[in-house]
Amino acid sequence: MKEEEIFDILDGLASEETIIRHQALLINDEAYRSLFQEYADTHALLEAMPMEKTAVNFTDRLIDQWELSQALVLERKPSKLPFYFLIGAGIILIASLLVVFSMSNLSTVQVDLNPTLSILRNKLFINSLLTINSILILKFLDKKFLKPYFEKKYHVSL
Amino acid sequence: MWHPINVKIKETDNSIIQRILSGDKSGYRELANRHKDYAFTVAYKIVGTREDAEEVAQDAFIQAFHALPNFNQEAKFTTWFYRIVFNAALMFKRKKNIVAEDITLSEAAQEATADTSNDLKTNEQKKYIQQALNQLSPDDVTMITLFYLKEQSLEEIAQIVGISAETVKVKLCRARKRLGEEMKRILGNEVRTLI
Repeated sequence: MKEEEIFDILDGLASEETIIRHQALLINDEAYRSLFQEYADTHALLEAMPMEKTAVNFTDRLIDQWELSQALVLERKPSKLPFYFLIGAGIILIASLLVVFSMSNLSTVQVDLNPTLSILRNKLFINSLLTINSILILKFLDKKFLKPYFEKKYHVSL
Repeated sequence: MWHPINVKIKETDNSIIQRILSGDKSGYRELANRHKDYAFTVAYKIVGTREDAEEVAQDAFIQAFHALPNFNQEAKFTTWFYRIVFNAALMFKRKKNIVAEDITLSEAAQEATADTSNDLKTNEQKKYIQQALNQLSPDDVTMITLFYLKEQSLEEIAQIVGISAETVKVKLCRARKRLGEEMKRILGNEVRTLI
């Protein structure tokens, strides 16, 4: 008799032919009787296996956790803030550049500089420096004022 | 005199889910209350400790709640949900790599025969079955738990675990055999005293 067939008998799924063989073996085969008894014992124990109970406040804790995870999702929704900030920063940058370019066309004073400082006459160099400075100022403002402000107001880590 | 009998029909899981999806938040609590013990028990049998099992069961519910909008209303909720529980427990077990407690054969045998009251006997049963289950693979534990606790059919277990019904039958047979061997190793011939 195969083990699978023994469990079929225990589960009530065995065919009539298997049951007849099983009954014959129970009478005539001591080793089979002992093996069947062993499996039957385990089966009986498992059938009596009780359902475990959760802690009394399981559902309350679960609902709290669920609502908290929902709240986090809701708080994360207005994530357009960084987008608005970038638009604002872009506008300020463009405005700064426009001011810089318009001022650079108004140069009226001619100063003689020694050869090592002659690079300061290069418009491209000056404009690049001003642009870099503008970006650095914007970054500084963002880090020191804007970011802390938005984080505090919306409780969101940007 | 004839008295009308009020028959309260139990609302189906899928009907509760429909209420949840249409905005009735009380449905979450109802679903949780209905399935928490079974989810907890499956998790407990796999991870081995009550604290971890509570964590796994909570995590499984949260995952299921998040995924409810994608749940196929034609399917059976429990099959879908138990699969989530099963996977959550497996993931947890892999992460924590729980080392199961072992006990000496003689201690166990002595304790097993010490008490005779029904409550104590049930506790003994739970204790030794759990100790034996701790020695089995999560797959074996799942087969046994699903089969015996809610008497799931082989087809339902197959859906939950993601294998064929034929394979479930073979695995279940092996799992029961291994469990029997473990029980024998722990208790010797005292197994019968627990029944």
